[in-house]
Amino acid sequence: MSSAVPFAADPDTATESTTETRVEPDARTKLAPSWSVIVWDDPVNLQSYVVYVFQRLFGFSEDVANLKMLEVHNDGRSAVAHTDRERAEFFVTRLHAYGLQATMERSKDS
Amino acid sequence: MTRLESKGKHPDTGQRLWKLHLLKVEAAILRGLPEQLRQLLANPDNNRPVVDRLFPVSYADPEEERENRRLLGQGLLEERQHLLDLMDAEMLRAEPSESQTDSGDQADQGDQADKGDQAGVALELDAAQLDLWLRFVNDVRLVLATDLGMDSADSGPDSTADPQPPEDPKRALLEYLGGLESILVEAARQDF
Repeated sequence: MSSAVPFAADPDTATESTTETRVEPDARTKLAPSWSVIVWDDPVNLQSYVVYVFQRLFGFSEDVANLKMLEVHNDGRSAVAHTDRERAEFFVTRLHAYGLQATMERSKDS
Repeated sequence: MTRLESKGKHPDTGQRLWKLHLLKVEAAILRGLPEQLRQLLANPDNNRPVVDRLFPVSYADPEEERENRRLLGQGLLEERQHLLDLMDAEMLRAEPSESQTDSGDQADQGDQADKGDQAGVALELDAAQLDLWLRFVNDVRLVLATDLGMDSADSGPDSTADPQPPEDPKRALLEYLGGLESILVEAARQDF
């Protein structure tokens, strides 16, 4: 699992990287994304459909969407976003609306 | 049979447009599916595995999940019901199509004697409508697969231990919808 890898689609991660040198350590910890959105393997959803959903919801490039889909398929799960709780709930809800099995969990580094 | 015909791009949005062609028998089956799902959602206690598959858990922690359901559950149900209403409207948009060969790119669709069987309906789809169809078709596939016991990791379509006979109507529908979904998703991804 590559839960520590930030994605460009995640505005929180992008914000963190651009302000890193200006933020005090304590405040930086508070701003860090603390939830991971996990997509789980599912024998019914088509691989091409999962790639489509990843591209649509997260704005992933085709290459990244394919990599994340294969991670789900081969490893059983993939962390597709790291963000605050509210946005993680939003993403999980949207993934469910598209029929994907998704959960959210506190990031290990939070 | 089902096919998706490219209709170029929308002059204003630049998004691709498509025309979905369905045989009459395919359209008739699809037309009945929203109501079947509606009935299923209206009786969740009698369809627990299927409903649980359409509304999976968000949190591993039971207490957090309970609170999440309390806050979001009704909205998620209403969103699913709204999707079915939209699909009812989609089915009404379908117009008779003279034949499956009217675009000229499907050369061999049978002779005149088969024309009655080949006649069907067609409707135009933009990106948003493609997305709507994809979500609906995928929902039906999830329902069918769960009902057939094909929803666990060792019992999917690739499993060699599938207990369902190939002539099972639900399985046949699942396979048809898998083909339809493949066609739709290939088209939808061209807008990314």
